[in-house]
Amino acid sequence: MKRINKRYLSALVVGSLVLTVFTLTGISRAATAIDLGAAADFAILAGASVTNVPTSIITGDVGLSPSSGSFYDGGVTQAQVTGTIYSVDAAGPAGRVTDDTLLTAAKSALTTAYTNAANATPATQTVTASAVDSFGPGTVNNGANLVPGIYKSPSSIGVTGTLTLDGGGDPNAVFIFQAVSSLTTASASTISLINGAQACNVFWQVGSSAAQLGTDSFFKGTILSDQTITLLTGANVEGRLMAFTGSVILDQNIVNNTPCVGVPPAPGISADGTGARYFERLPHINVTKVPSPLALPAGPGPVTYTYKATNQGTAPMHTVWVTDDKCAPVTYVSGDANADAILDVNETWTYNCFKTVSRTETNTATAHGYANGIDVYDTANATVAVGTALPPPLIHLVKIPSAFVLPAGGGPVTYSYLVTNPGTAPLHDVSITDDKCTGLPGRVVGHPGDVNGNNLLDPDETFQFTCISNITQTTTNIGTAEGGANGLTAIDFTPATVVVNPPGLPNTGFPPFGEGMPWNIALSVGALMLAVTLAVVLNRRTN
Amino acid sequence: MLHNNPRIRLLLVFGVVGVMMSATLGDTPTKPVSTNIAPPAQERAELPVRLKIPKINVDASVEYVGLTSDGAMDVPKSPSNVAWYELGPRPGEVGSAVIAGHVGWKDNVQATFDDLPDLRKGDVIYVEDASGGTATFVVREQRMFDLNQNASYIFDARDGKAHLNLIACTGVWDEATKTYSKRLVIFADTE
Repeated sequence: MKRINKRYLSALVVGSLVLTVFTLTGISRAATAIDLGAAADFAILAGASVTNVPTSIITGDVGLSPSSGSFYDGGVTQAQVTGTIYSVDAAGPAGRVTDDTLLTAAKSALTTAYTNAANATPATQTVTASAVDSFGPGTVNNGANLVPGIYKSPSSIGVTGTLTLDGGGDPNAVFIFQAVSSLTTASASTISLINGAQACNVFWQVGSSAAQLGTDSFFKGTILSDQTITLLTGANVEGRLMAFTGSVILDQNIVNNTPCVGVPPAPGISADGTGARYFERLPHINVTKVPSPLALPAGPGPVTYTYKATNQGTAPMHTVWVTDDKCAPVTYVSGDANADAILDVNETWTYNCFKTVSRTETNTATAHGYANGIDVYDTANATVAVGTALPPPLIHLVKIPSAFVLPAGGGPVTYSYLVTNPGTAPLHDVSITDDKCTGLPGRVVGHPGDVNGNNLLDPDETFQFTCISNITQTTTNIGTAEGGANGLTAIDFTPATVVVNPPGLPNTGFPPFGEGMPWNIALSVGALMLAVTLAVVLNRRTN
Repeated sequence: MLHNNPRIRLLLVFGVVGVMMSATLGDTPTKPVSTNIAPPAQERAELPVRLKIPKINVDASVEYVGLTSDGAMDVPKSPSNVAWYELGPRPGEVGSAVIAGHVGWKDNVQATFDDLPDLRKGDVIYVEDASGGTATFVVREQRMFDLNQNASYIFDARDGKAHLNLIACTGVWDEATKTYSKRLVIFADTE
């Protein structure tokens, strides 16, 4: 589209000025996730050495290069790692895999990732040069949530108390922290992820000096460091530790390289499927997923996943299925009361799947249904922890609009949200948001559903919310519920589609040529036709 | 068709224009009707003012219309104007902006969209806005719709792009219902 307009130009100039001012005060700027390439599967990757005071629990691969495998100290054992330990040579812990090629590629990818993180611009906020402990109460952000963006310190970055990263409802929200010198987190400090922020999208680039995570602290994100990364006793990481030149030093830690979780597929809406002039009833599917057990402290073991798919819409659904990205087959168990293979309104079907889980993993179930020209989907995520007794968090979001179909032109819709905890661990830092409905609280504090007032979402509690949005065209919006427990973050994305009916086709016709035409025009045109015919005939003759 | 020959078309136009000099031209832009639509999150485009399609000599004022009492998109009051569906996106905004125009004759004026069937893939459509900007669209396809068909395909687009769709009557005139049996829709995309 071409737009030629001077006013736009001046708006652009003014906009740039405003932006410059806001950069200093911290306006949201989109940052791009750092691609880790061949290093992506590593929870730990070091250049000089890897040491550990047992017992640590590491989920993800462990790699050391260019140092010999002999620079893994005796505390690093396969028993503490659900993943592969790689070395460049025949030395190293029992069970290691020697793969110099892979490690070289991973280190090369780390260099690229480090450079990209260091050069990411522009900074959302520049942290003052002298500040260690920059983020947290009484510091640079004074305890306020950070929006997605790039945060740069010309010297060091520190974290004290609780640092909350607010994704603003965007599951792809990226946070990049750039510390020219060092990164230090305080003892018992916590990084919380809310409103769609995910550990896989948080990056900490640390330059000339070291990174250190405090005793019993909870940390989120990938550390891309040139120098040594030290975890003090009991520090817990949801992310990765990558030290290009230096070492990674562990002391009874949990390091979990958790993957990103995606949003459900967009609905397919085909007007041809309705066979009717207007949409009337719509399907709306919701799925829950609960693994049993949630934790396998003694190592790999069998897990049963139970899925429940419910039709919360107004049209009976057919072609209903549930799949899981890491478990197959997902089998129908019960629920189709009248055995008609149609998921009726308010009916719930139960499915299950069996699997031996050998390392801590998060998997995603997808449920599908179809009715009246609309394909709808929902997803549910669940993590099973291996090698620890601590159960991972589970969270579930139900979202129902007050109307599924609006007449042409649209109108207001009230969305109801129910957040529950289908797991066993109470959830802290519970947040609720929606990508296209504003008015939800984000981080939930003091909700009446918190019956025991402990500021946690317990398994028997329900947090309920509503949000009103004016819908003028067919809209799919995605609600996000997020909460944490035991160093891990649970997230559930729930879409809802509201169709705004198209208008009827306009009556754009006048009576055809001749009928609506005044007699004088008809006469002129008639005469013209005659002239034209004459012209054509004459034309032919001259040829 | 006879008037597809440029030489003859010129002759025809001269003749008709002569007669039309005395006729009233209803090309005064109508005022936008107030609506209670909250502005969506995306940046709004300017309101459309003129529709220009050089290929079929269309240069028409844009009226703003909503719904008729029976839920259909309304039509322009003047045969020489076109009507933009103001309950949908503005031309240039994400989604499908829809503009309808008449065919046939009324009040001594030939309707704007008589030659709409002549548009082909690649033909260019311009929409001028209230502040002098121009949005350019390129024809993608032509489709026929039955009068009572679901019109989502015309009014809804979920590909995140800006489209402009033009509607005119076609098919057979039914004297009893005072309408044509089908609608011709030209689908166009931003350049």
